[in-house]
Amino acid sequence: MIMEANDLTRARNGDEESLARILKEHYSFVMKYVWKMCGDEQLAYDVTQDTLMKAVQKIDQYRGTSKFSTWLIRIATHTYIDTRRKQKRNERLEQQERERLKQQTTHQLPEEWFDVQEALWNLEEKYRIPVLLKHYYGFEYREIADMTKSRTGTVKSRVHYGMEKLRKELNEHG
Amino acid sequence: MDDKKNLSLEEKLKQGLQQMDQQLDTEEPPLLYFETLVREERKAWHQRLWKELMLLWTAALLMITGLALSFYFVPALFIIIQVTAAAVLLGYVWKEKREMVMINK
Repeated sequence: MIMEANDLTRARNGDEESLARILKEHYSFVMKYVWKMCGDEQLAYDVTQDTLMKAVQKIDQYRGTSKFSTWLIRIATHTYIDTRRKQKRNERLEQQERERLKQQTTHQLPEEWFDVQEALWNLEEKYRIPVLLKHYYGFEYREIADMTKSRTGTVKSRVHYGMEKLRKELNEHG
Repeated sequence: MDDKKNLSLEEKLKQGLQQMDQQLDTEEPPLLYFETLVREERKAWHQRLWKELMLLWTAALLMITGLALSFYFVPALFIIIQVTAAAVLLGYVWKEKREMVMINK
């Protein structure tokens, strides 16, 4: 923890090795966050790569008021939303990727947990991202609003409706 | 009430995603990859900033040249540009001030 704080201070002062070390430490965390958010391995790699590049560009803007991982999640969420907007990725490809992941993980995961993941990925993106940020990463509505560039009230209602949709889906398949 | 209703679903969601976190196999590149990324991205970022600065200076230089030329050859145009620029600036300052007052109220 102290070592990370030291590395962060050095990184903000321009030390490239310290910054590289911190980014390495957080790589899997960011990658898994984006992967969970989109369910597409390749897209997760691309967004993670872009997130790291932005972190390098903006490290001097990191003030240390939040955890470094929170700062990275904020960048990753913005990057993911922008990427989706720009690319308008083919939904069919994404579906294929999820099917592949489904086959890969079905026999590794207890069915109950797999249903939860499947239900989450079936949610529309506007619900999925706030639900994930609120109920898995434990962010405040205000923070999620900042990350997703929307209003706090909108985030609250999206989390609520997202959870309702999840409940329905799980009840139907449960 | 709503929180109570969601409790078990929240737990399910959390545990499902925890399981998924353990299952997702992300290959973490070696430190050298990150060192190269930081070095190259820093270099590219500085180059980009210089490029933008150069563009800004070029645009400023062109505008000043244009204004100087208009001052000597078409004074009327020079006056129109100056008056328009002053009006736009005043309008902007007034708008900003008004918004600030509204926020502070």
